[in-house]
Amino acid sequence: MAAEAISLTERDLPRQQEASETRGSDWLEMAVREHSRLVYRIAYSVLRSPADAEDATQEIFLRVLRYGKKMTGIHDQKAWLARIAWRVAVERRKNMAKLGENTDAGADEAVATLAAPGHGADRALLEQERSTTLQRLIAALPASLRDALVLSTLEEIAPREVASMLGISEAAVRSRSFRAREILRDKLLAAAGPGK
Amino acid sequence: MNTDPTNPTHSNDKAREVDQWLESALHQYGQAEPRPGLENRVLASLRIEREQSERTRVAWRRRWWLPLWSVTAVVLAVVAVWVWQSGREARPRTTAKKSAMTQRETAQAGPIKPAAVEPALVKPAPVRTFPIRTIAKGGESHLAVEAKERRDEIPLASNQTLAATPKLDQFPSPQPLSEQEQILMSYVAKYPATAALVAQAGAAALERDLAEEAAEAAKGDTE
Repeated sequence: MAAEAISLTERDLPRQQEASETRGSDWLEMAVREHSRLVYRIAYSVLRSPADAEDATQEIFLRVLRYGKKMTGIHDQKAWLARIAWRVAVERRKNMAKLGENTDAGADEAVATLAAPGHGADRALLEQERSTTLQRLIAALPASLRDALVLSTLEEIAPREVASMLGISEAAVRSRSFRAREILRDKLLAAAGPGK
Repeated sequence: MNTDPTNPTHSNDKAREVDQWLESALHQYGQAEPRPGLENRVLASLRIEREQSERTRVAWRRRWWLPLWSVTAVVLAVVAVWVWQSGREARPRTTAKKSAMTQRETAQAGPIKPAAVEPALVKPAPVRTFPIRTIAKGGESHLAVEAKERRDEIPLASNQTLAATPKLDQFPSPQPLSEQEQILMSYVAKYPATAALVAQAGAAALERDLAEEAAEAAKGDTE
Protein backbone atom coordinates (compact mmCIF):
# COMPACT_ATOMS: atom_id res chain seq x y z
CA MET A 1 0.00 0.00 0.00
CA ALA A 2 2.81 2.36 0.92
CA ALA A 3 4.72 1.39 -2.22
CA GLU A 4 1.58 1.96 -4.24
CA ALA A 5 1.32 5.41 -2.67
CA ILE A 6 4.86 6.27 -3.72
CA SER A 7 4.43 4.95 -7.26
CA LEU A 8 1.19 6.86 -7.57
CA THR A 9 3.01 10.07 -6.61
CA GLU A 10 5.77 9.55 -9.15
CA ARG A 11 3.30 8.71 -11.92
CA ASP A 12 1.30 11.82 -11.22
CA LEU A 13 4.31 14.14 -10.87
CA PRO A 14 4.83 15.04 -14.55
CA ARG A 15 1.13 15.73 -14.86
CA GLN A 16 1.20 17.92 -11.79
CA GLN A 17 4.25 19.82 -12.97
CA GLU A 18 2.75 20.43 -16.36
CA ALA A 19 -0.42 21.70 -14.74
CA SER A 20 1.54 23.89 -12.38
CA GLU A 21 3.41 25.42 -15.24
CA THR A 22 0.23 26.42 -17.00
CA ARG A 23 -2.05 27.66 -14.25
CA GLY A 24 -1.39 27.62 -10.51
CA SER A 25 -5.06 27.66 -9.57
CA ASP A 26 -5.78 24.55 -11.64
CA TRP A 27 -2.99 22.75 -9.91
CA LEU A 28 -4.40 23.67 -6.54
CA GLU A 29 -7.81 22.35 -7.51
CA MET A 30 -6.18 19.12 -8.63
CA ALA A 31 -4.28 18.92 -5.35
CA VAL A 32 -7.52 19.36 -3.39
CA ARG A 33 -9.24 16.59 -5.32
CA GLU A 34 -6.33 14.17 -4.97
CA HIS A 35 -4.99 14.86 -1.49
CA SER A 36 -7.79 16.39 0.57
CA ARG A 37 -8.63 13.00 2.10
CA LEU A 38 -5.04 12.39 3.14
CA VAL A 39 -4.81 15.88 4.60
CA TYR A 40 -8.05 15.28 6.51
CA ARG A 41 -6.81 11.96 7.89
CA ILE A 42 -3.58 13.48 9.07
CA ALA A 43 -5.49 16.26 10.78
CA TYR A 44 -7.95 13.78 12.30
CA SER A 45 -5.19 11.51 13.58
CA VAL A 46 -3.93 14.44 15.64
CA LEU A 47 -7.12 16.26 16.59
CA ARG A 48 -9.51 13.29 16.83
CA SER A 49 -12.51 15.45 16.02
CA PRO A 50 -14.23 15.48 12.61
CA ALA A 51 -15.11 19.19 12.88
CA ASP A 52 -11.62 20.23 13.94
CA ALA A 53 -10.08 18.02 11.30
CA GLU A 54 -12.19 19.63 8.56
CA ASP A 55 -11.36 23.14 9.81
CA ALA A 56 -7.70 22.23 9.77
CA THR A 57 -8.04 20.87 6.21
CA GLN A 58 -9.55 24.18 5.04
CA GLU A 59 -6.81 26.11 6.74
CA ILE A 60 -4.10 23.98 5.19
CA PHE A 61 -5.28 24.56 1.65
CA LEU A 62 -5.81 28.24 2.30
CA ARG A 63 -2.18 28.50 3.36
CA VAL A 64 -1.20 26.71 0.18
CA LEU A 65 -3.21 29.26 -1.81
CA ARG A 66 -1.61 32.21 -0.08
CA TYR A 67 1.93 30.94 -0.49
CA GLY A 68 1.17 28.96 -3.64
CA LYS A 69 3.92 30.58 -5.72
CA LYS A 70 6.43 28.43 -3.91
CA MET A 71 4.73 25.20 -4.94
CA THR A 72 5.77 25.18 -8.57
CA GLY A 73 9.30 24.13 -7.71
CA ILE A 74 8.39 21.35 -5.28
CA HIS A 75 9.30 17.83 -6.34
CA ASP A 76 7.01 15.74 -4.10
CA GLN A 77 3.95 17.84 -3.52
CA LYS A 78 2.03 15.12 -1.67
CA ALA A 79 4.76 14.82 0.95
CA TRP A 80 4.94 18.61 1.12
CA LEU A 81 1.21 18.82 1.75
CA ALA A 82 1.42 16.07 4.36
CA ARG A 83 4.13 17.99 6.23
CA ILE A 84 2.06 21.15 6.22
CA ALA A 85 -1.01 19.23 7.37
CA TRP A 86 0.92 17.69 10.23
CA ARG A 87 2.35 21.00 11.39
CA VAL A 88 -1.00 22.79 11.23
CA ALA A 89 -2.75 19.98 13.11
CA VAL A 90 -0.13 19.86 15.86
CA GLU A 91 -0.28 23.65 16.15
CA ARG A 92 -4.03 23.50 16.53
CA ARG A 93 -3.75 20.81 19.18
CA LYS A 94 -1.34 22.98 21.16
CA ASN A 95 -3.71 25.91 20.95
CA MET A 96 -6.58 23.76 22.09
CA ALA A 97 -4.52 22.49 25.00
CA LYS A 98 -3.78 26.08 26.00
CA LEU A 99 -7.49 26.80 25.96
CA GLY A 100 -8.00 23.90 28.35
CA GLU A 101 -9.46 21.34 25.99
CA ASN A 102 -7.73 18.28 27.34
CA THR A 103 -7.90 15.38 24.92
CA ASP A 104 -5.60 13.15 26.92
CA ALA A 105 -7.73 12.80 30.00
CA GLY A 106 -9.55 9.67 31.01
CA ALA A 107 -7.24 6.94 29.65
CA ASP A 108 -7.17 5.02 32.87
CA GLU A 109 -10.88 5.50 33.31
CA ALA A 110 -11.49 4.13 29.86
CA VAL A 111 -9.45 1.03 30.62
CA ALA A 112 -11.30 0.62 33.89
CA THR A 113 -14.65 0.88 32.13
CA LEU A 114 -13.58 -1.72 29.62
CA ALA A 115 -12.51 -4.05 32.37
CA ALA A 116 -15.49 -3.48 34.63
CA PRO A 117 -17.75 -6.45 35.21
CA GLY A 118 -21.32 -6.23 34.00
CA HIS A 119 -20.10 -4.45 30.90
CA GLY A 120 -22.54 -4.32 27.95
CA ALA A 121 -22.46 -7.49 25.85
CA ASP A 122 -23.52 -5.87 22.52
CA ARG A 123 -20.67 -6.38 20.09
CA ALA A 124 -21.04 -3.12 18.19
CA LEU A 125 -21.21 -1.11 21.36
CA LEU A 126 -18.22 -3.03 22.66
CA GLU A 127 -16.26 -2.20 19.53
CA GLN A 128 -17.13 1.44 19.86
CA GLU A 129 -16.04 1.49 23.41
CA ARG A 130 -12.83 -0.27 22.52
CA SER A 131 -12.18 2.31 19.84
CA THR A 132 -12.74 5.14 22.29
CA THR A 133 -10.48 3.39 24.77
CA LEU A 134 -7.78 3.00 22.19
CA GLN A 135 -7.95 6.68 21.34
CA ARG A 136 -7.50 7.61 24.93
CA LEU A 137 -4.63 5.18 25.38
CA ILE A 138 -2.89 6.57 22.33
CA ALA A 139 -3.44 10.11 23.58
CA ALA A 140 -1.77 9.12 26.84
CA LEU A 141 1.38 7.93 25.08
CA PRO A 142 4.55 10.08 25.10
CA ALA A 143 4.41 12.57 22.23
CA SER A 144 7.37 11.15 20.31
CA LEU A 145 5.94 7.63 20.35
CA ARG A 146 2.42 8.78 19.67
CA ASP A 147 3.31 10.81 16.59
CA ALA A 148 5.26 7.96 15.00
CA LEU A 149 2.49 5.46 15.72
CA VAL A 150 -0.34 7.70 14.49
CA LEU A 151 1.35 8.57 11.20
CA SER A 152 2.30 4.95 10.62
CA THR A 153 -1.36 3.98 10.75
CA LEU A 154 -2.04 6.10 7.65
CA GLU A 155 -1.75 3.90 4.60
CA GLU A 156 -1.09 6.72 2.16
CA ILE A 157 2.14 7.70 3.85
CA ALA A 158 5.28 5.64 3.53
CA PRO A 159 7.71 5.28 6.48
CA ARG A 160 10.22 7.41 4.53
CA GLU A 161 7.70 10.23 4.33
CA VAL A 162 6.81 9.84 8.03
CA ALA A 163 10.49 10.15 8.85
CA SER A 164 10.70 13.31 6.72
CA MET A 165 7.67 14.83 8.45
CA LEU A 166 8.97 14.12 11.95
CA GLY A 167 12.56 14.96 11.16
CA ILE A 168 13.88 11.56 12.23
CA SER A 169 15.26 8.49 10.47
CA GLU A 170 13.19 5.67 9.05
CA ALA A 171 14.64 3.28 11.63
CA ALA A 172 13.60 5.64 14.41
CA VAL A 173 10.06 5.70 13.03
CA ARG A 174 9.84 1.91 13.07
CA SER A 175 11.38 1.67 16.51
CA ARG A 176 9.07 4.25 18.07
CA SER A 177 6.02 2.76 16.42
CA PHE A 178 6.92 -0.69 17.76
CA ARG A 179 7.45 0.62 21.29
CA ALA A 180 4.14 2.44 21.21
CA ARG A 181 2.30 -0.73 20.15
CA GLU A 182 3.99 -2.65 22.96
CA ILE A 183 2.80 -0.13 25.54
CA LEU A 184 -0.76 -0.24 24.23
CA ARG A 185 -0.73 -4.03 24.14
CA ASP A 186 0.49 -4.25 27.71
CA LYS A 187 -2.19 -1.85 28.91
CA LEU A 188 -4.91 -3.71 27.08
CA LEU A 189 -3.69 -7.05 28.41
CA ALA A 190 -3.61 -5.65 31.90
CA ALA A 191 -7.15 -4.36 31.46
CA ALA A 192 -8.29 -7.70 30.04
CA GLY A 193 -7.07 -9.41 33.19
CA PRO A 194 -6.35 -13.03 33.62
CA GLY A 195 -9.94 -14.14 33.50
CA LYS A 196 -11.35 -12.28 30.45
CA MET B 1 -10.50 -21.95 23.32
CA ASN B 2 -8.65 -22.71 26.51
CA THR B 3 -10.23 -20.66 29.24
CA ASP B 4 -8.12 -21.94 32.10
CA PRO B 5 -6.29 -18.90 33.34
CA THR B 6 -3.51 -20.97 34.83
CA ASN B 7 -2.80 -22.58 31.48
CA PRO B 8 0.02 -20.81 29.67
CA THR B 9 -1.76 -21.40 26.38
CA HIS B 10 -4.61 -19.31 27.67
CA SER B 11 -2.44 -16.29 28.22
CA ASN B 12 -0.93 -16.77 24.77
CA ASP B 13 -4.37 -16.87 23.26
CA LYS B 14 -5.29 -13.78 25.14
CA ALA B 15 -2.21 -11.97 24.00
CA ARG B 16 -2.85 -13.07 20.43
CA GLU B 17 -6.42 -11.83 20.64
CA VAL B 18 -5.30 -8.47 22.01
CA ASP B 19 -2.66 -8.21 19.26
CA GLN B 20 -5.20 -8.88 16.57
CA TRP B 21 -7.66 -6.49 18.06
CA LEU B 22 -4.97 -3.84 18.42
CA GLU B 23 -3.87 -4.18 14.80
CA SER B 24 -7.44 -3.97 13.63
CA ALA B 25 -8.13 -0.96 15.83
CA LEU B 26 -5.00 0.85 14.73
CA HIS B 27 -5.89 0.20 11.11
CA GLN B 28 -9.30 1.69 11.71
CA TYR B 29 -7.71 4.52 13.66
CA GLY B 30 -6.00 5.77 10.49
CA GLN B 31 -8.97 5.24 8.18
CA ALA B 32 -11.15 8.08 9.27
CA GLU B 33 -13.38 9.26 6.47
CA PRO B 34 -14.41 12.87 6.10
CA ARG B 35 -17.98 13.98 5.63
CA PRO B 36 -19.11 13.68 2.01
CA GLY B 37 -18.38 16.77 -0.09
CA LEU B 38 -15.19 17.83 1.68
CA GLU B 39 -13.48 18.62 -1.64
CA ASN B 40 -16.27 20.95 -2.76
CA ARG B 41 -16.30 22.75 0.57
CA VAL B 42 -12.55 23.28 0.42
CA LEU B 43 -12.72 24.49 -3.18
CA ALA B 44 -15.55 26.88 -2.29
CA SER B 45 -13.52 28.40 0.54
CA LEU B 46 -10.54 28.76 -1.78
CA ARG B 47 -12.70 30.52 -4.34
CA ILE B 48 -13.96 32.95 -1.69
CA GLU B 49 -10.40 33.60 -0.55
CA ARG B 50 -9.31 34.35 -4.12
CA GLU B 51 -12.20 36.75 -4.65
CA GLN B 52 -11.48 38.52 -1.38
CA SER B 53 -7.81 38.92 -2.14
CA GLU B 54 -8.66 40.22 -5.62
CA ARG B 55 -11.08 42.74 -4.11
CA THR B 56 -8.43 43.80 -1.62
CA ARG B 57 -5.91 44.20 -4.43
CA VAL B 58 -8.34 46.31 -6.49
CA ALA B 59 -9.27 48.41 -3.48
CA TRP B 60 -5.61 49.00 -2.70
CA ARG B 61 -4.93 49.98 -6.27
CA ARG B 62 -7.90 52.38 -6.29
CA ARG B 63 -6.91 53.80 -2.96
CA TRP B 64 -3.31 54.44 -3.74
CA TRP B 65 -3.31 54.81 -7.52
CA LEU B 66 -4.44 58.42 -7.61
CA PRO B 67 -2.21 59.73 -4.81
CA LEU B 68 0.73 57.82 -6.19
CA TRP B 69 0.30 59.19 -9.67
CA SER B 70 -0.31 62.69 -8.31
CA VAL B 71 2.90 62.59 -6.34
CA THR B 72 4.78 61.28 -9.35
CA ALA B 73 3.37 64.02 -11.56
CA VAL B 74 4.28 66.70 -9.02
CA VAL B 75 7.81 65.37 -8.68
CA LEU B 76 8.25 65.28 -12.45
CA ALA B 77 6.89 68.82 -12.77
CA VAL B 78 9.26 70.08 -10.08
CA VAL B 79 12.20 68.40 -11.75
CA ALA B 80 11.23 69.81 -15.14
CA VAL B 81 10.88 73.33 -13.73
CA TRP B 82 14.18 73.04 -11.94
CA VAL B 83 15.94 71.90 -15.10
CA TRP B 84 14.34 74.68 -17.11
CA GLN B 85 15.27 77.29 -14.50
CA SER B 86 18.85 76.10 -14.43
CA GLY B 87 19.08 76.40 -18.18
CA ARG B 88 17.46 79.83 -18.19
CA GLU B 89 19.72 81.24 -15.48
CA ALA B 90 22.79 80.09 -17.33
CA ARG B 91 21.84 81.90 -20.55
CA PRO B 92 21.37 85.54 -19.28
CA ARG B 93 24.51 85.27 -17.17
CA THR B 94 26.44 84.18 -20.21
CA THR B 95 25.03 87.05 -22.31
CA ALA B 96 25.68 89.65 -19.58
CA LYS B 97 29.16 88.33 -19.12
CA LYS B 98 29.85 88.61 -22.83
CA SER B 99 28.57 92.15 -23.09
CA ALA B 100 30.43 93.22 -19.95
CA MET B 101 33.59 91.72 -21.34
CA THR B 102 32.99 93.44 -24.64
CA GLN B 103 32.44 96.79 -22.89
CA ARG B 104 35.67 96.36 -20.97
CA GLU B 105 37.56 95.40 -24.08
CA THR B 106 36.18 98.42 -25.92
CA ALA B 107 37.07 100.76 -23.08
CA GLN B 108 40.58 99.36 -22.89
CA ALA B 109 41.05 99.52 -26.64
CA GLY B 110 40.16 103.23 -26.67
CA PRO B 111 38.50 105.07 -29.54
CA ILE B 112 38.35 103.01 -32.60
CA LYS B 113 40.75 104.20 -35.22
CA PRO B 114 39.38 104.31 -38.72
CA ALA B 115 41.93 101.74 -39.75
CA ALA B 116 40.56 99.29 -37.15
CA VAL B 117 37.17 99.20 -38.75
CA GLU B 118 36.70 96.58 -41.33
CA PRO B 119 35.60 98.46 -44.34
CA ALA B 120 33.79 95.46 -45.78
CA LEU B 121 31.25 95.43 -42.97
CA VAL B 122 30.49 99.11 -43.08
CA LYS B 123 28.21 100.45 -45.73
CA PRO B 124 29.07 103.89 -46.91
CA ALA B 125 26.45 106.10 -45.38
CA PRO B 126 24.51 108.39 -47.71
CA VAL B 127 26.05 111.83 -47.69
CA ARG B 128 23.87 114.27 -45.90
CA THR B 129 24.66 117.92 -46.04
CA PHE B 130 23.62 119.94 -43.11
CA PRO B 131 23.85 123.70 -42.61
CA ILE B 132 27.04 124.99 -41.16
CA ARG B 133 25.08 127.02 -38.66
CA THR B 134 24.34 123.88 -36.75
CA ILE B 135 27.98 123.39 -36.01
CA ALA B 136 28.36 125.51 -32.91
CA LYS B 137 28.79 125.12 -29.26
CA GLY B 138 25.32 123.78 -28.96
CA GLY B 139 25.69 122.07 -32.27
CA GLU B 140 27.69 119.36 -30.74
CA SER B 141 24.63 117.91 -29.20
CA HIS B 142 22.83 118.29 -32.53
CA LEU B 143 25.75 116.65 -34.19
CA ALA B 144 25.66 113.89 -31.65
CA VAL B 145 22.02 113.26 -32.49
CA GLU B 146 22.81 113.21 -36.20
CA ALA B 147 25.71 110.91 -35.57
CA LYS B 148 23.43 108.62 -33.62
CA GLU B 149 21.04 108.49 -36.53
CA ARG B 150 23.90 107.59 -38.84
CA ARG B 151 24.93 104.94 -36.39
CA ASP B 152 21.53 103.40 -36.49
CA GLU B 153 21.65 103.15 -40.31
CA ILE B 154 25.11 101.64 -40.51
CA PRO B 155 25.49 98.00 -39.53
CA LEU B 156 27.89 97.39 -36.71
CA ALA B 157 31.36 96.06 -37.37
CA SER B 158 32.33 92.67 -36.17
CA ASN B 159 34.33 94.12 -33.33
CA GLN B 160 31.44 96.28 -32.23
CA THR B 161 28.54 95.02 -30.14
CA LEU B 162 25.40 96.58 -28.91
CA ALA B 163 25.31 97.56 -25.30
CA ALA B 164 23.56 94.95 -23.17
CA THR B 165 20.70 95.66 -20.84
CA PRO B 166 22.67 95.51 -17.62
CA LYS B 167 23.18 98.87 -15.95
CA LEU B 168 26.73 100.26 -16.23
CA ASP B 169 28.51 102.77 -14.04
CA GLN B 170 28.99 105.38 -16.82
CA PHE B 171 26.05 107.07 -18.50
CA PRO B 172 25.61 107.41 -21.33
CA SER B 173 27.50 104.21 -21.93
CA PRO B 174 30.46 104.80 -24.20
CA GLN B 175 29.74 103.78 -27.72
CA PRO B 176 32.22 103.45 -30.51
CA LEU B 177 32.35 106.36 -32.93
CA SER B 178 30.31 106.20 -36.05
CA GLU B 179 31.83 106.80 -39.47
CA GLN B 180 30.65 110.40 -39.65
CA GLU B 181 32.15 111.15 -36.28
CA GLN B 182 35.35 109.52 -37.34
CA ILE B 183 35.42 111.57 -40.55
CA LEU B 184 34.74 114.73 -38.59
CA MET B 185 37.45 113.91 -36.11
CA SER B 186 39.93 113.27 -38.85
CA TYR B 187 38.93 116.61 -40.53
CA VAL B 188 39.35 118.48 -37.28
CA ALA B 189 42.67 116.78 -36.71
CA LYS B 190 43.87 117.68 -40.18
CA TYR B 191 42.40 121.25 -40.43
CA PRO B 192 41.88 122.57 -36.91
CA ALA B 193 41.82 126.24 -37.89
CA THR B 194 39.31 125.75 -40.64
CA ALA B 195 37.15 123.60 -38.41
CA ALA B 196 37.15 126.32 -35.75
CA LEU B 197 36.13 129.00 -38.30
CA VAL B 198 33.31 126.78 -39.55
CA ALA B 199 32.12 126.21 -36.02
CA GLN B 200 32.16 129.89 -35.19
CA ALA B 201 30.24 130.76 -38.35
CA GLY B 202 27.66 128.15 -37.56
CA ALA B 203 27.21 129.42 -34.00
CA ALA B 204 26.74 132.98 -35.24
CA ALA B 205 24.13 131.84 -37.74
CA LEU B 206 22.30 129.97 -35.05
CA GLU B 207 22.19 133.06 -32.81
CA ARG B 208 20.82 135.19 -35.65
CA ASP B 209 18.09 132.64 -36.31
CA LEU B 210 17.09 132.44 -32.66
CA ALA B 211 16.95 136.26 -32.42
CA GLU B 212 14.75 136.51 -35.54
CA GLU B 213 12.40 133.88 -34.19
CA ALA B 214 12.12 135.68 -30.86
CA ALA B 215 11.35 139.00 -32.61
CA GLU B 216 8.65 137.48 -34.75
CA ALA B 217 7.11 135.84 -31.72
CA ALA B 218 7.04 139.18 -29.85
CA LYS B 219 5.48 140.98 -32.82
CA GLY B 220 2.78 138.33 -33.06
CA ASP B 221 1.80 138.76 -29.39
CA THR B 222 1.39 142.52 -29.61
CA GLU B 223 -0.82 142.24 -32.70
